[in-house]
Amino acid sequence: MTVTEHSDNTVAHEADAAPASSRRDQALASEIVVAFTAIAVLLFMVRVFGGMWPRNFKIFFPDSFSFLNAARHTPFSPAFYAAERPIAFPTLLFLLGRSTALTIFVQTALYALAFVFAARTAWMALRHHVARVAGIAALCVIALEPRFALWNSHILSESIGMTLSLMSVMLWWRFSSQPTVSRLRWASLATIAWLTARDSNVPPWAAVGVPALLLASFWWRSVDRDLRLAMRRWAAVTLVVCVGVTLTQAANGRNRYATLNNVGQRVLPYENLTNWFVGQGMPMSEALRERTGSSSFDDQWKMLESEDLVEFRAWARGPGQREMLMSYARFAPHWVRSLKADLPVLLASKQAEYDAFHVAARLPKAASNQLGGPTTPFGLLIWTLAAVGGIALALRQRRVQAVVLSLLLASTFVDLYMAYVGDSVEVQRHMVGPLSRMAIILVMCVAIGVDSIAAAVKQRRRKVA
Amino acid sequence: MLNRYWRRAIVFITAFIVAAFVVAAFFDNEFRSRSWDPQQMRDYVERTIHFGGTFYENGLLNKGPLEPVVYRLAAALTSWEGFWYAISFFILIVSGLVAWAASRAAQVVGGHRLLGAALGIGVFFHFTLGKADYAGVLYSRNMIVGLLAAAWLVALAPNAWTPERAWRSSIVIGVLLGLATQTLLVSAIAAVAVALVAWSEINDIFDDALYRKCRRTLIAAPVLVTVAAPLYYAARGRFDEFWSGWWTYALYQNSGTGRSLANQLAYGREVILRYYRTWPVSFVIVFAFVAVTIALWRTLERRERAVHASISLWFVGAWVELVLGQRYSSHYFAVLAVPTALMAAVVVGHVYRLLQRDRGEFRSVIAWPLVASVLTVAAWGGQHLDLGLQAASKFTSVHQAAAARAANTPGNERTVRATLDLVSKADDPLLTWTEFPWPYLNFRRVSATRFIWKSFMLGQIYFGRTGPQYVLPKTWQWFAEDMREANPAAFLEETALPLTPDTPFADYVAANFDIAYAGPDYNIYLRHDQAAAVLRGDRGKVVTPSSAFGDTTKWKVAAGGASLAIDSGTPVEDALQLSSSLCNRISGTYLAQPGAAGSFLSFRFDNPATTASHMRLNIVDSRAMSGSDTTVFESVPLSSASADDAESEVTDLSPHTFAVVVGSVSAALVIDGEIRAAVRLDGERSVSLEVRNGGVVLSDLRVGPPPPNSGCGG
Repeated sequence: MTVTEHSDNTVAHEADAAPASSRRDQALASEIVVAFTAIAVLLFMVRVFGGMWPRNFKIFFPDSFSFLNAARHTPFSPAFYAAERPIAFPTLLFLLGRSTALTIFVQTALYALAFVFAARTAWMALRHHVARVAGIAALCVIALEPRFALWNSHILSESIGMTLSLMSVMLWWRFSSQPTVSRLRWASLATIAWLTARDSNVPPWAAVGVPALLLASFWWRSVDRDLRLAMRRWAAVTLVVCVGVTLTQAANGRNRYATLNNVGQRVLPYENLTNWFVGQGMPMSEALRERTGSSSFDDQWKMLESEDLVEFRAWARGPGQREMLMSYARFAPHWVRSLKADLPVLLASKQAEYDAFHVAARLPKAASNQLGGPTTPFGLLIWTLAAVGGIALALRQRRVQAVVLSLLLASTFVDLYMAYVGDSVEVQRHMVGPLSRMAIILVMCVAIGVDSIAAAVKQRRRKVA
Repeated sequence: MLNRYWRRAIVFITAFIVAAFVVAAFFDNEFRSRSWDPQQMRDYVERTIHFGGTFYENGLLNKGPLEPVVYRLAAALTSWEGFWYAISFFILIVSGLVAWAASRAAQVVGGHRLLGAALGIGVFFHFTLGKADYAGVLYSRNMIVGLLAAAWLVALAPNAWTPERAWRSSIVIGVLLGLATQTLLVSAIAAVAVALVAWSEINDIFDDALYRKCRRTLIAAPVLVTVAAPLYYAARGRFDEFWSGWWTYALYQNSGTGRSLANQLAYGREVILRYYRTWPVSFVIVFAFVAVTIALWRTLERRERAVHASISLWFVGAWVELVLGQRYSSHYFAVLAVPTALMAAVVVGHVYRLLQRDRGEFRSVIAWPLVASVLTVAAWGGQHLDLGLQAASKFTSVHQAAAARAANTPGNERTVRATLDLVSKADDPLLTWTEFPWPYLNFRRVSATRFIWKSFMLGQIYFGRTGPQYVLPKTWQWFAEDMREANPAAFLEETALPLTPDTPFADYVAANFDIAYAGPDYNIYLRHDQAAAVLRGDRGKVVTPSSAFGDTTKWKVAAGGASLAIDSGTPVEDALQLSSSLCNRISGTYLAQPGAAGSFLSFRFDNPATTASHMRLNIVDSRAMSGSDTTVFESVPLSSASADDAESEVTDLSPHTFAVVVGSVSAALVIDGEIRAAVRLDGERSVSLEVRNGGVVLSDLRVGPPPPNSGCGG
């Protein structure tokens, strides 16, 4: 198979060959589509904002102030890069003058535009109208899901994280449908932007994306050398970004909160885990044992301020973080069981407690039958099976797309796992990005499966004819 | 040419902003359009719906029937709560037509299509979201400019004058112009101005027979449509009503100012000078248009000359209309804004053509609508845009939006509405002595008489003189007929506008009504039979109340009586159940004997489905109050004769007769034969008495039937 044999980007070629009047008609038609898309984006934004914009979006999450503080450093200061937050959202805040109203406007617009881009990508990558319409409809349903859309109303990195995640996923899909150096560059840049949105995005990419790029650069012989070299280059660059994000976030000490929370709520309740951590150097004391079941913020920040826990905090600031990371691999079965136990609640969460500006009341209700992504473990199972089936169907005729989608699908589960184990506090909020990404990738996989079925049916009909 | 990505980006942003204009205008104008005249027109329409007959039998209209027809259409298309959304939609249509007319004007003189779109966007914003008083409303003059703009568009449409379509176009233009002049005769000059363009266009028709047919149509159709209204009402036998409003009252309004024609012209000159000093941009536009017209006249084609001449005449006609109208109300200036906008469009179109001839096509033309939309907001402000988008954001349904507004109803209006609901139902007739159009709509009633304002009956001319010579000849005859037909159950008097004595209106009120409620802002009179049912009523059977606490209650209950000692210490939950249903009249005598904490009796209406909130009618010391658990709607003294000293907390220790009159949707508290508080119910189904502080003796407790028109059936 050659790469270009299965290029789906036929619209532009057809347009080139069309007569001038037809091109004008196409241009007009596309401008009409653009205009209607703009109206749809406007309506979405109006409904998300409610009567709040521009003056009534108050910020009250401590994390929001943390992002603003990071932005206050400005990108011209080294402190900006080692501040308590990865740089993507602080950069946006900096560019928008740390204006709450403007940031909410822009991030909502970007969120909506990312879905427009996704719909456009689905239109290009899929060949049959049934798959296109179904795929785009599903994307619209996900965009309108209140549990995702409500984050546009907060000065938090969830919105920009979902937007960049969507862009990154779609650009990889574009790359898979027609692999070129240029498309690889755009996909890699979007991925880098996504990596710098939240530090929890690093593990899925480091575990799946970087190895996949490197392996492909050596084994994918059917593509030209430039593309393989570019893959190697971008694997290296993204790896450097992963390391950079990890080191800067480790340097500023913010991850100590996650370590403290996890020890209190997820390690101390289990004797074998506790013993292992003690064996790895965790200073055990009666004061620490008292913190069993508590996070670092409970009991008036006792874990953060108690004199009896000075030694423990020093451990959490340094080697404790590394040990915690090691435990995610060492005790993976335990953590997976824990995730499985919490999954019904996490999937079903409507994030209502975060909906301070009543976005859910103004958007359509979440789609029934889990069309906007899984909301139960059984739904997740069905979606996953359908996605795997879709990939399997596409494997024969669109191998590159199938491989890339399967890698993306695998990475969503890593993402889900890491988001869960990363911090025991506000788990539902931390799951927003991974769940939206998962919903989108599942839709893509199923859509490409439907597309493959439609192609097969059409081919058979042709043969019969 | 810009590459397609830039083009798409620009189209996207432009569509985004224009869509924001449209959405914001629709939701903002739903509120903004409830101006004076529109509410008056709705009063007439609602009255027509209730009583039937022609619009002129249901209101004093000094304009043609188009305006009430449009408002009637809005009522037909929507629910009572959704009415103003339909009006807002019509405003969008009218503004769109005017914007399109400006766009067409620019293109006719050589402007680019997108330049026309840019101008259209600016004009649309001005008429829907601008600050001017004529923006965002649907007065008769807005309709007229819409009709003229539509005629203008047909006249200049590229294919309007082909042999197949020419006659149809003539008819359409003739009808539109006829409707404009029928609505307001003084708009005839502007109509002639628009006809001039059509006249010029038919000149190019080669078929002589068709040419003559079109010419005849352009003259005859407007005249026929204009006279169609009087002919129609004459045929229906309602010519008197029509002529009194459309012609006679219009004459009163003209002569009522007391100005001679010379004085009107002199005053007009003053206004014109003042206007252009205030709006220099308008002056610059007019000056530039005149200069361009003079400078280019020789080079203009016939069609372009017709456009220039038409706009000039339209402009003059607008000022003539304003000068002869004499009042210069800010919303009248819509008639001037349209020709001024067309002048601006033509000037810009000419400038574009000159530049384009010199340097070729502009690459940036795709961005001009975007630039125009941004500049428009910058120039005219985004206040209404902001309000409209906020309203759009909050909107979930028409009913919910109405409920949200109803929740903010002032207490005095709640009392009136609740009282009216005890004696009549929604859309029933209400007699009022007012000079405002909104009491009928606020209380959801129709006017009992076609003369919805006292000014019609007192001969008060708007911005003019007052005298019996300005009272229409058959006024009192028609008033009497209206009263016979409506037989209103209530008369509402605003305390700031007391009923003028020695008028047939006052005589009718004196002969037919008793005062039932005297409040700080409104006095409510009920028809004798209704007053008897509400204030005195059939006392019914003796009742023995029960307590929610059963045997553990601290109330001492007996047949027809109950008492709670001051030192009982029982919680407020130990309430006395007076009735387990609505639709009754609970009456008796109460005597407050409280301690230092004062007396507090609360007739509480309970909803079995929820314990969240209750409506209440309270007696607190020497005051009566209506409200809910959390809010006091209105508070008045126990007796209308006592001073309204809200600070007074002296407990009234004398016995009082009382009645809680409960209808299907509202309840009133009658004390010593007067309504002192009333409240609309919100799903409540039963009545209890909650007493705080103790010290209450109830005696002679009885339950009788509710008033006959309180919505309780039977």
